[in-house]
Amino acid sequence: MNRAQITVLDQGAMAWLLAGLGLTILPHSLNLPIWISTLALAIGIWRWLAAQRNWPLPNNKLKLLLTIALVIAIFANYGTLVGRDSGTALLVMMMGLKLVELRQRRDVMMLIFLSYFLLITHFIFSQTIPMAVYVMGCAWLLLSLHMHLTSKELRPIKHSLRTAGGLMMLALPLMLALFVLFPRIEGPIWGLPKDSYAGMTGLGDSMSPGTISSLSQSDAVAFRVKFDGRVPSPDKRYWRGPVLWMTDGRNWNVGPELRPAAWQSPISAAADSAISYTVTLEPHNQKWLFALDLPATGSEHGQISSDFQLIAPKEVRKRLKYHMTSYLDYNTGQLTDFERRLGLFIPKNRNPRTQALGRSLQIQSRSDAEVVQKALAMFRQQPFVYSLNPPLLNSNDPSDQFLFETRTGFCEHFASSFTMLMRAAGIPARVVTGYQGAELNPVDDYYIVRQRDAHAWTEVWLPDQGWLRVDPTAAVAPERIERSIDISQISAGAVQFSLPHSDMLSKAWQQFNLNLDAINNRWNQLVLGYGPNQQRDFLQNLGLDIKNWRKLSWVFLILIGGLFLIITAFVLIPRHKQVDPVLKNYQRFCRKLARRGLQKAENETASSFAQRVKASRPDLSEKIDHITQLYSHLRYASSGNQKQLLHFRKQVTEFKP
Amino acid sequence: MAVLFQSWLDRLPARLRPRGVRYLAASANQSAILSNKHIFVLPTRQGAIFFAILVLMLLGAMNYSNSMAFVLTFWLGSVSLVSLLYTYRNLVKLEIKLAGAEPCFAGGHAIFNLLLNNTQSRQRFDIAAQSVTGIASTTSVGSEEHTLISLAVPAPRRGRLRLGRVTLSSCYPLGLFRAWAYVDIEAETLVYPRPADHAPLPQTGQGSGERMETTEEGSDNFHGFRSYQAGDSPRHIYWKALARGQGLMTKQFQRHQSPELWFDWTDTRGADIETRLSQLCRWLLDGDSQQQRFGLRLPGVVLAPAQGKDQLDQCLAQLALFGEAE
Repeated sequence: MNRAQITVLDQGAMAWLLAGLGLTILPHSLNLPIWISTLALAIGIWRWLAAQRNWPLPNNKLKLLLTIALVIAIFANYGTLVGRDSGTALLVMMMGLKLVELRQRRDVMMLIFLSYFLLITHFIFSQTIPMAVYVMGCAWLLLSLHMHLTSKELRPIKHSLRTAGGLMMLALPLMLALFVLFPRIEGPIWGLPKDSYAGMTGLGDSMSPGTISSLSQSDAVAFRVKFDGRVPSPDKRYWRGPVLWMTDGRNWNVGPELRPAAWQSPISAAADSAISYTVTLEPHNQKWLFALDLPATGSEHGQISSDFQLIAPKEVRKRLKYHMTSYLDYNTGQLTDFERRLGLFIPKNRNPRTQALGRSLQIQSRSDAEVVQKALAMFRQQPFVYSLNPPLLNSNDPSDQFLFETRTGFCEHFASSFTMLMRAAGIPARVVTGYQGAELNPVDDYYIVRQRDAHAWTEVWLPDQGWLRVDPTAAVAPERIERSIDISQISAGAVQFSLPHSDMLSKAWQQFNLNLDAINNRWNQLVLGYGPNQQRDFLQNLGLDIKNWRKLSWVFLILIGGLFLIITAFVLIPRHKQVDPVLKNYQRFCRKLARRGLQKAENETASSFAQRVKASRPDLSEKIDHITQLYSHLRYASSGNQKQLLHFRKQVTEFKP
Repeated sequence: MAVLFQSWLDRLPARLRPRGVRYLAASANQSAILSNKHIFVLPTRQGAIFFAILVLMLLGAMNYSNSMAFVLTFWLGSVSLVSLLYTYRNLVKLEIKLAGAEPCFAGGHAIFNLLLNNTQSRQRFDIAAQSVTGIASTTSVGSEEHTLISLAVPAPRRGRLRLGRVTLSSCYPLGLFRAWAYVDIEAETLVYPRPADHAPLPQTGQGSGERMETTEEGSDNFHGFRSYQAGDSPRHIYWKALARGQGLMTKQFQRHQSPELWFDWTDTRGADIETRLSQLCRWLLDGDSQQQRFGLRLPGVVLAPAQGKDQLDQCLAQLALFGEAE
């Protein structure tokens, strides 16, 4: 048991320290399991009470026991100790234990250093503007505490807050220069814990009923697009993602790997339908990129596979910007045997009614195109309903159940049943998932595609047209293609589509949101997206070659060094107190006399100096008396006004010894 | 780290010290100004830990390619660099001047007062001053103000005590860097012999020494109390006051006719010079506390009997300098 704790921190400092630590940990309460947040809070409260009532601190044995128990609990919770989440939990617990054993000033400093480190972990979870502002505020508070608790003298915390704020402002230019110029390398250096990218949303590599409708409730941004010139009309804004070939009658999966590199696209496209654009994709921890249907060229960020998926070399785990060209009118040409077999595959003994319907459509029609038309007409004419909350398809034949019984579904239901129907009619078909739509942000003139725009459609292969996009959802609910889903309405069941808002308030709200998104977009592009490539481009714009590292390091050293010298000069140049105008004018008076050989000694008062001067210059005695009197009055009576000051100045000016 | 480096420097012989290490001199009539040539700055141990954590943060930022993590790391790094300037600024152009010294008894601490003068409008914080052997004391100096700082220097031996080198240092504001400067201050004070614990006043002085009566016999007139001072005879301590919690009080006695006492080197008994000087010191203190007139006879030195603080100081000074080649 130890009662030495009282000497380490006084109660005021303890309160500030606990507040600083609490604010530092606070955002993690969203990521950490509730028991850790509660425990951290309990330790904080206990520490506060212990400081107030001078409770004894636990001894080493108890602390060791506590440490082991916590490590085991964290391991039990996460199954690992090295993950992103478990690492954060460990760090928080370490801080809690350090708080318990706060005995010396060194412990306090260690605690603050750990807090600095904890601050950085917030950014692994979120890098939004509010989070950045919050964390920098915490850094300010921690620096102030650092300063406050380092000193053995007691000063008000206000002094530390002000000085730390000043330090941060002075350090700001240096930080910016380092941010821009410090050599960036492509991470990760040593690999990341498995859970580093947990919680990212986006389209998966498989589709089953409900997959896409779960996304459609999310307002999160999937990607943003900036068109170079022409913008496709809303009904052409299909953003191609994973292409699904394989099915067991219920679930759809991507096909086997289709040699992306060696394969040459036999695409023939109308050159005037080319669209150029730049996509900024939010990280989704998957390999595919999204491109307007149909992507023409790959890039260093992604290659086009034989089924026109854009595949990145590795999972997209940070915001990715890539430039693309797509064709709206195209002909993909012939089909390989392998693709034909894959595109006609139907699981045996599943969905018998769908298969029968397909076969009868094939018999009734003269061409494949007619089959497609008839099937679409069926969707249009029969009472199919587009809904976010469709009845569950729980039978072994979900297509049958949907086409002939429930007839209420979301895009994945339509797409998978339609594809199944086409395959039954002998037409090679596949499901394409992706996004449909794009909302214009007029603030910065770019388009936003959100998770709720996730969509699934069908591609059929027709002999003279190649792969052709057919969207059965559009046949049922053409509004879906024109406008995006209004998520405020989906709870009712039947899908509503957002109409242009009419009243002022919602218009203002919409405008506010667009402005916000524009700011976020710039933040993403300029700050968060600043990496090796952006740095290379930036330096190239300055005329510096990234490969000339010798020259670069000189530039780096000179710029940083120069900046540091400027800050040094700013810090070290002495500041003079604002000189009292009364004193300034009196000194002027003294200088005038000094030129006549009458020097005022430093320890001489104004009146004794006046006596001495009068003795040697009796002719000036009246004026000297007047000026000295005014000076004494203005300087020491503290009642002088502006008018008197002006008079005093005039007297000094007119004084000619 | 800075402290380690400094102790390493201090151990080096003067000719081996790096050229940059300069020592500044100051005395009672001259103040020393810490110019940029005299100030050293190095990271502290705490600073080293802080930079290690910054490196970890930088590695984390690189590994996750996390822009905001870079921002935070670079910001904290830049702040620590600017704090170096603050640390340096806290010491540069500070003026130091000696402002008196107080003698002490051997085994105690002599006090040297230094005047720290801040001619600039910026306040200076947490300035520590420390002599080579003494304890550091810390103070702040306001804008265009001066502050007195007292250095307690241990005085193990009788004689003259030189202040010698004083290190002025500061870790303000973040404790990550330590700036320091050496000042050699021309100052010395006297260290009196340690008073012997118990030594009855000499029964007879060689000259006109009158028989000293003990207080128990009641021939002295009780005069009053005063608070205890170092060197007071324990026999005169008013123990009842201590028991009542009023602190140490010494009983004072006065004689109507103060006889002259002579404290003579030849009256002292002891194995060595220091023991004998200790005994003389005790006599002087007791004689003074009893408000006697006393004189001092040492080989080669005779101080005529007198009474009061000046007499005591003079006699003690003679003891302090005894045996020193003049």
